[in-house]
Amino acid sequence: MAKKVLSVIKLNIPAGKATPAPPIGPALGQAGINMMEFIKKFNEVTMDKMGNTLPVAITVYEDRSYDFVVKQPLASDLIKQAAGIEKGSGNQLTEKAGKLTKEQLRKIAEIKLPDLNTNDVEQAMKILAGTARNMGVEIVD
Amino acid sequence: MKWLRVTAHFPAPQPDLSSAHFLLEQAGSLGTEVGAGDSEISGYLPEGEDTWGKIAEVGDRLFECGAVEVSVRSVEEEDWAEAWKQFFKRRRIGRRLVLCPAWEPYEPEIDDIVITMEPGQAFGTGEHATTQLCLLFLEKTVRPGMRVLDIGTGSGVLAIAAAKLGASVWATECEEAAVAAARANFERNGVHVELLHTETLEGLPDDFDLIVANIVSAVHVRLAPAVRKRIAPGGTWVLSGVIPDNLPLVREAVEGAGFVVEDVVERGGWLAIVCRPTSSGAA
Repeated sequence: MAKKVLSVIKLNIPAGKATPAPPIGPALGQAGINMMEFIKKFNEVTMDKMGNTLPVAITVYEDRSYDFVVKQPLASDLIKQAAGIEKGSGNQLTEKAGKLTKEQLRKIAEIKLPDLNTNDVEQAMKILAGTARNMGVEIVD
Repeated sequence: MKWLRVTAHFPAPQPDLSSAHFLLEQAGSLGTEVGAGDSEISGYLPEGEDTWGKIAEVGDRLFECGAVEVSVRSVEEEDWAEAWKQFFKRRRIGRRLVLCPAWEPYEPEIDDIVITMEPGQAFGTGEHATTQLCLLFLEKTVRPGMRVLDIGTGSGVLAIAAAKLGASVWATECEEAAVAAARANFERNGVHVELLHTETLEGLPDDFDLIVANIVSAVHVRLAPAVRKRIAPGGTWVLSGVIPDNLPLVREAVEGAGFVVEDVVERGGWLAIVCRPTSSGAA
């Protein structure tokens, strides 16, 4: 019989560099699961993606056991890398932090498609164009 | 330590909250938590002099991204930092080693080697398979007078075990909190360990009979050449904390640095690799 799911915790944390500091400590401590065990495993399985922030969904079961799924790097990370910026603009309304071509946006949309609740690349591009705008990144042809 | 949890609330589930993550990360949050069916995202900022200024700034940006409310809640580290204690129970490992939480009294049996631990937020209570693999190896291998190095000592559990088995022990650790936890545990157990707060192996002797490292594959790979310089001829290096997927990568680095893999031991889905230096040095 399948174990009863107690909760699903969704975190965005740096690959290979998870620590007990927030958000991991409070989220996992509250759920009553073994934090250090999770950190060790997460860091080991994500070592090849170091430098990226990864979304992870941790399913906690009634017996306090858990499993987790790591997704593709955050769209904001992929946008930063493609636009060649370290940080976004301080104010996206008056200043642009960088530029992204539509082709670059399409590539990011294809990578992130499984995580964006759509099968339509054009729709995914629209979502990610909004993300880029919020970061102060301009979309150009 | 006090943290401020900053939460951006959106009117509906968002297909992508990464721009809000990006803003919270820029303000100093080490990561974020997504909740309420993808309609809110929270980051944590350590409370300090300029924290409220940062929150005001990031709050404005979050509203521009479509948040309808930004809330701030104070969180005490004590609320969650002790949660791990419920998982740490007394445990016998191998024939003689007994790991005990510092808050649990234990009457040792004859020949028991008791290690009393208060790991804090450092890794190493003995609950984890990777630590157990190393402890079993130490119990089997360490003889009085041996020179042992524990790389990334964490709570200090492996260094303490080696010292109690009679070795002269050195240890390294890069995390400040773990250094403090390890020092306290060395004192608690009445052992002397030369502990260096470092990410490298600089400044250490070059004749260790046994080097043990319960860390992650990426660090094994990075340190392999440095370990080769610190190990005595005929010495042993035990690398723990490796998942099977990463074995080929670690093996390649280890062999490339001048070691030969003698054994790979599995426990609970984790591997420990036992290797020795080749007589000819690095390949």
